[in-house]
Amino acid sequence: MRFLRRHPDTAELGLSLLDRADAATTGHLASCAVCRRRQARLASRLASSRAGAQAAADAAFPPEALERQRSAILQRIARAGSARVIAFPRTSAEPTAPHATVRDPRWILAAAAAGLILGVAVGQLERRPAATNAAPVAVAKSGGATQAVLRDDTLLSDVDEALSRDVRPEFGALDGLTPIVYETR
Amino acid sequence: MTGVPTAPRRQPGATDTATALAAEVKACLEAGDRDGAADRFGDLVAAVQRRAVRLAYYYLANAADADDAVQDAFVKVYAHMTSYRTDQPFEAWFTRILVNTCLDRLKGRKRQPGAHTSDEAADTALLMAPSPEPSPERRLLADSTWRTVAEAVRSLPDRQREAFVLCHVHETSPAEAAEVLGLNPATLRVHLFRAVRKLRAVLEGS
Repeated sequence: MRFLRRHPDTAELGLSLLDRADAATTGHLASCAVCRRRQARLASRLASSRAGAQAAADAAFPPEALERQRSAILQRIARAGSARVIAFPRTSAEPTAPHATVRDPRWILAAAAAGLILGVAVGQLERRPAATNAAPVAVAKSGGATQAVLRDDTLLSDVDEALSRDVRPEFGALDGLTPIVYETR
Repeated sequence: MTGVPTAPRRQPGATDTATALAAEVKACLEAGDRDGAADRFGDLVAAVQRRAVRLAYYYLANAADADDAVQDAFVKVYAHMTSYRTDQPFEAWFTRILVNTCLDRLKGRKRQPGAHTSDEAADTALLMAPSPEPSPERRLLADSTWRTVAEAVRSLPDRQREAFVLCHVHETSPAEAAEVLGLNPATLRVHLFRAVRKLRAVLEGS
């Protein structure tokens, strides 16, 4: 058996009372009457402290107070049990069930088709007013359908005139390099 | 080893009773028998209530606070009864919840200084009341040792205080105290050693 050469301090004696004595302290206590008396005094003081604390608590909580407390606990439990439970809103962090993420592919196709049809229809509706508005503006600007036709005739006659004119000699080389449509066909 | 006194430990029978009752409450709840569960829970409360109020009163030093803390702890226990592991001692589980509830209240007090008054005045009034013959309770209250020690214990760091209160006042075995506090038994022993070392002066009575 190991022996503690010095006298154990109060902490070591206290630990031997509250937990267990290590081998060295036990060996020392077996051979040292002074330390045994110290340990006994410490044990007495600890016991006195514990008994005093328990007596104070018991004085503050007599049996009728414990009975009241027990009734209060059971009432709180009964209230909690009878209360209507409202489901807490599911948060985004909460894991969702696997079936909730996998949809029926037929629904996806139907939704895509409906979206396409809706998009085309909306596109048509948007285009139609633009087309109907463009014509009156053009007519309004040209001063009517006859004026538009006259403008086209003027343009064509200008083109004919330009083509019928003699080619200027300084542009001859360039003209010779330019392919003519009917020659390329 | 002869002649080395050891700290008194509570009888294991009470713990076994509480664990058996807790298992019955859990079984009733799982079977949907709420009335049966509440009935058995009343018995469970009665089995551990005295020790619970002693512990809470030692922590909080105020009867109203200790009453609230014990009630809260029991209500929490009932709410989580279905998660209780019946192969574990009920009292270790309950004590952990109760200690945490008491610590929360102590933290709340620190945030609201002045809201707390200890029951020392009530104890003094009890002692001053005329009585033809001093009862054992009065004699214990008259001994100021416990109050001196309790005051010194309140100044300990949290872990040291919890280790000392559980092993000394609550008479919990060190192994169970380690389980309650979620500590390694060797770590608990270190906290206990440091606590006793800091309390050396009051424990020696100097």
